[in-house]
Amino acid sequence: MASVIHACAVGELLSAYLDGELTRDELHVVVEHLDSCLECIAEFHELRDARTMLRTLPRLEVPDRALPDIHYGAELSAYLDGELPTGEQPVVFAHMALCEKCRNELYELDAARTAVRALPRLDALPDGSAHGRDGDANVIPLRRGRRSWLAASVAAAVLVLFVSLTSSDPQGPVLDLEVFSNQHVARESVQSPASLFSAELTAVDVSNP
Amino acid sequence: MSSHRLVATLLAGLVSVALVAPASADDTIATDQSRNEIYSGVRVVVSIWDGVASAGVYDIEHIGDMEYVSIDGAWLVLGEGSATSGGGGMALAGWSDIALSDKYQVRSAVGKSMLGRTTRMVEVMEGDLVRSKFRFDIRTGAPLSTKIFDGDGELFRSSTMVSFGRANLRLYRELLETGTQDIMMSVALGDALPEKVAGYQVADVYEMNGGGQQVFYSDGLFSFSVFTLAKNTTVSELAEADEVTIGSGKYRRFASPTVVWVTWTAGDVTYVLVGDVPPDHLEAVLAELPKPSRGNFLTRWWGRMFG
Repeated sequence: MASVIHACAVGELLSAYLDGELTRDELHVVVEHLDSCLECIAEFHELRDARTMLRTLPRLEVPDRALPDIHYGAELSAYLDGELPTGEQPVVFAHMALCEKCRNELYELDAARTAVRALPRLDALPDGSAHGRDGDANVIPLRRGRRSWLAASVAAAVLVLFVSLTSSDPQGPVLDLEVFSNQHVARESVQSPASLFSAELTAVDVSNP
Repeated sequence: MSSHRLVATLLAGLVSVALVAPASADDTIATDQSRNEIYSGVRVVVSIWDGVASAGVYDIEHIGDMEYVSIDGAWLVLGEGSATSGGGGMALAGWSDIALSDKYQVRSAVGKSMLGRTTRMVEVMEGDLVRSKFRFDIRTGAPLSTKIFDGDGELFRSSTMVSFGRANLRLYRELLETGTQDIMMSVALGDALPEKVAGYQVADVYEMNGGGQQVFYSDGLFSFSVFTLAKNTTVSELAEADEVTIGSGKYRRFASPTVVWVTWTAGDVTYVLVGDVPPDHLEAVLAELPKPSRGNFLTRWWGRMFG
């Protein structure tokens, strides 16, 4: 495409015009200028075509193997738990077939979890210590427990009261903006400015504004 | 906001259909024969809200009373009370005529040539203020250039055709054969909204699918719809919109090149306003509509204490 070169200073503002980045004064200048300057209009089209071409370039899908040092460390835990999205599971699986590092990491992760699961279960005590389920039973003072529960209950009640007074009402339905847009423009479409000014547009005698 | 939604919002409000009966070859006398002119073009629309500009470049295919508008791969066919996009469509069962408000005075003159077309300039005054300037193509009635000014007389929105030619009829016919349309029925105005608002008059009221109403206001030059919805209804894109103070209330506002959306909740109703009104008209309109709820005592106290 031949480049359009001309002397208009406004030409330099066209890109900002397309991006909506002009100041009010600049916008006024560009709009007035575009009314009459064929060179700038041509340049505008050229600029727009170039942008359209950029947007329509095909997106390249690069195979994982072609990427240096890509690993799925963060996804391995989810993979082990079966919590990966369906689409990602075969990707991670295929990657591990090729990547020894990720394979080893998965084995280590699995071994660590197995070891954790094999540990004896511990119950927590109020003072933060722990004892085994089959160990000596510690006696927890009843009065202290009652005070703790009372304090917790009062705190919870205050919290519930505060939240209920300050929070918004429950979430209602969620609608798309497009619904409102289409309904408005459908109604708006039956009447345009041109239809309002039919008398002015078809007048034989005109006055100068 | 996703790109699809963004495109959908960009498409909204770009209306130039329902053609006037245009002039004949001598550019002075209208004939029915030339009413259904077809044309295509590229239109650039820029709006400025609070000093922030947004722009859209739209491809237009116009046939008779229908118009096909596309931007960035998304499209909308609208006209004759219907709007159809890739996601489906809707059509109004009927509508009333709207006259230009008597607060406006209209002047016209022969315009200078634009894109090789003979034009007619129409200027709309609101008192001493030039509110809008149009330049129409004489033969087709197409608005080649539109300028809207705010209450300070500053340019607020411009819409300029940067190319103009014949329409692609084949593409248009293919689009019209796609999709189904929901029919919107007219209903009586409910209690939530007034009949007149800041010089705008209710033109039509439609029942919405799923409850609520669409109340369409117009002063002949600008228009807006107010949707009344169940309390706490969320409009996905507007939930992330900027919170702005307009008059004495706080609203969520989102502006595209062609229209502005505002949402708020008052009492048991959530309101969504969408329209092409200029900023000073919007403020006047909102001042006469139900005010946003201020929240309970603790909410206000918490806001004052911690912002």
